[in-house]
Amino acid sequence: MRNVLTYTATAIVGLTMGVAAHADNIAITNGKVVTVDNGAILEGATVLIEGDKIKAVGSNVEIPNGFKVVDAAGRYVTPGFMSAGTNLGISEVGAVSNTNDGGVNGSRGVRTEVPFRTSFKISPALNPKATHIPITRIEGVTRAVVSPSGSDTLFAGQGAVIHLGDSWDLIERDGAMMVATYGNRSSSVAGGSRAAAWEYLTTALNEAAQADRRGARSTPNRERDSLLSAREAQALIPVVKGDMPLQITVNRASDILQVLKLKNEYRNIDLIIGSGQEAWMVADQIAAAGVPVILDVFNNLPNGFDSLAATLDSAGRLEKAGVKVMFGGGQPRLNIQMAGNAVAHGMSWNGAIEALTVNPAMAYGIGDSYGKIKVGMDADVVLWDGDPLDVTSSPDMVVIQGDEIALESRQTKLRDRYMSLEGLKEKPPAYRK
Amino acid sequence: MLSKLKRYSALAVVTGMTMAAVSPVQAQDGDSESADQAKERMPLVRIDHEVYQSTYKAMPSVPTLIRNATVIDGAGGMIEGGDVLMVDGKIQAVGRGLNAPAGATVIDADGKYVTPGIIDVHSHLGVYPSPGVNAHSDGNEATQPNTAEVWAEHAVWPQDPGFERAAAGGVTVLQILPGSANLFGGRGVTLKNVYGRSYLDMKYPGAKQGLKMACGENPKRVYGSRGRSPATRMGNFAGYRAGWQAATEYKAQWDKYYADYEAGKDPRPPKRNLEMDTLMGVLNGDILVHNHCYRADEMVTILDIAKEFNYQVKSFQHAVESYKIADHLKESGTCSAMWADWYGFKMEAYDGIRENIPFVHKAGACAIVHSDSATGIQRLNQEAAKAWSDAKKVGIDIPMEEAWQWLSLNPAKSLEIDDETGSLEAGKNADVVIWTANPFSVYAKAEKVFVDGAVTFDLNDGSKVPVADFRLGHPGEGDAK
Repeated sequence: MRNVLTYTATAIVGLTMGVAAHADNIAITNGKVVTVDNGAILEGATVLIEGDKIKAVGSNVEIPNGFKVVDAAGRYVTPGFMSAGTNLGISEVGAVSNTNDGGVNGSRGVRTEVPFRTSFKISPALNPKATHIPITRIEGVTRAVVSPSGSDTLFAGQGAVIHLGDSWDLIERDGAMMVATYGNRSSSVAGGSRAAAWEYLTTALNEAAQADRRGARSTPNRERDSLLSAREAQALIPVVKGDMPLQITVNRASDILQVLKLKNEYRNIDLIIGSGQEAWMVADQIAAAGVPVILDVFNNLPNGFDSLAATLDSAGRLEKAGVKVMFGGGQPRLNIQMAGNAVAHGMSWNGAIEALTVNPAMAYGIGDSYGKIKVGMDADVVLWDGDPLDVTSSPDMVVIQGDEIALESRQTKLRDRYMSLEGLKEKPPAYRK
Repeated sequence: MLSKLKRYSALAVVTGMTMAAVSPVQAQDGDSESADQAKERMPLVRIDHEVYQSTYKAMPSVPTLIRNATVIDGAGGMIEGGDVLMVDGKIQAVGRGLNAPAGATVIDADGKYVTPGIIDVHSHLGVYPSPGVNAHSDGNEATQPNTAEVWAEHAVWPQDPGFERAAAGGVTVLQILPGSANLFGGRGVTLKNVYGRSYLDMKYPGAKQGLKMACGENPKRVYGSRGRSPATRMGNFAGYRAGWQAATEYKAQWDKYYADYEAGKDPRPPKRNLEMDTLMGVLNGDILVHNHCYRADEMVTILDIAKEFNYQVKSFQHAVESYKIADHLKESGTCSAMWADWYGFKMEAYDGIRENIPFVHKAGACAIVHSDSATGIQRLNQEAAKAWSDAKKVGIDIPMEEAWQWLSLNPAKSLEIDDETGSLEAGKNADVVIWTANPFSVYAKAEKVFVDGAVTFDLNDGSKVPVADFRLGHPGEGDAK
């Protein structure tokens, strides 16, 4: 405990680490390396980063000439973390509507009364220069799922997985999942009953399956009595084939069981449960179906009749049942605080680390390149000044795909400008750089 | 300005003024000459702000000695291996090697931390309770920009499950405020975090009410979108000034009425106006202004209006840009109630930084960690810890025991209850939390929470975990957190 509160001299040195140097060759030595590789934590280990990949990990790693050596002095080294539910790059100011591109609301432009935005992809809207990206990455989050968020839709559209590096090209996986909703929110979209929403959801999936079977014979015009346009049905085909996960925001335990029934109908369908506030009540069934769950750990109040059983113990209970947990919602950087709170309420520390790394990596299809500190993986590596899950810890160094990131953001610039209020009469803050 | 405030409160004492219903007061006997006169006069009318009296009674408690803990006293001190003795609902002693009185419960808290209970000055529990259905939406009387006449306490639903979750987070006292749709949103109320059958069973006895005011985007959006004033910040400020001008005139009528009465005349009381009663209560120093305000420039302007109309801004709420004007806030004696790291969700929150709280503290101004959230209120200790460690990272090293003032003593000061609670000092209310570990760690949990010496939450004893009526028969009923 006490060591959490003690900042090492090296931590202060870490502050001075400067501007991003691209594709450095870096050797982080003497680290407490949380590999997330079968739970192995290596003490006094070296992580060798060459180009954008991890070249070597271990205690007896030879450091080639020309590598920048960073002495971790026993500090924690982890993979960069991943948030499973963000609007990074598609929103700048929540309350300024024209800076938000997360979703299409209402049924304008849709020919049915129920909006199916299956063909909506958020990726063209992505702005790699959004200020929230540096604000997030300097706290150790280097990957994110960017989710569409249309609130008046049954299918909100397709999300993307991004890295948070300093680059124009952040997309790691486009069409990473199809987002849908079921439960009380879906019932209002469907006209007043979740049973109607269920009919629409399953009809839409059936039409996609039919469109897939018709294949080349498919005409660009939708059938007269079909629910989806041909475009919408086409966009849903990867979901029924299992090539694109179907992420369903659903909270009530009975609704979750209903959603799991989709696995009976569509053998290949790849489900992700979003929000899942009552998921712990049916944890065994979720585990048996092999479906991961995204939690906003802080949601522990009965904020509606779909979430009467919400509790801080959710993550630990799901983990014990064998469910793969991920974290999402709120500020992505605070997903780490969520993980710490999950540990305080029954989750294992390793399990919480996996929930921030390999679990979302696997769920969203980037597990081959990200999620572990392992030879051949992308070099998303963070050096911490304390226990990475504790609220008093922060990164001393962040590397994303081999690039050391400047620990700067719009917020650190404001902070530095107003660090001292002396002399502002003589020289207004606008002249402070 | 202070001296003027003092003058007004002296007058308030003379006239027996404090808050909202009309009640005749019989002329005092004793002085036969004035008594003769009084017989011929109408009885004095006063405005009683405490017309709805607290029925709070501390839960039963036994003398309790907490031993051998790391004691953070909340006033800036820390004692390793310290003891806290609570008797009859009060802190009797804080120190080392205290003796347990006969029959006392002794708690060995070796390895644990003891702090004052957390005080949240910005909560909407009860007025925006869980479940958050429309039928429960009672926090904003968003029907006109000045609703100073409404009282949050009249809408507090004492069965909000949020209160039990807040207890599990170590919260012992909280102020329930109206929302920020209006320029003058209405009166707030300070509660003890205990369950009752009505809010009166929770109401902190003797605590002054607050007046919620709001700057910036919310009022101008709510009313501008309806094609009425305020539609701009200009309109906001015109609205505040119109309110205070009317209140000044209203107060002059009442002051004259009291002065005439004092002079032995037989004046007729002015016509009551419930909206103006609240604003006059502020001008008389009986009601404390808590002003929702994000932007630095707006806070400075609000402070100017306070000078113009001669009242004090007790606190800015949210105060996302306080770090830019911490020197002004020190000078005006205004507290800032802040989040650790909320930012960016609206334009006026765009300049939020993680070091806002410690920067305000460092400047010598009053810093408070607040929640404005039914989930945030459950971990205010973590919010303080984040701000504290972010400051440390840039070389501002504030001792943890000093930083704890953000959670208890400074909030108590802004509510003017700091002579009774907010720190572990002999004679104060025994509002105390035992933490499983250092409460500036994410892994720490409130293990035992005491309000006036009685256990209101016990992590390890289900019989001492409160369960709101609403949760009975629901699947979440048994979960303590």
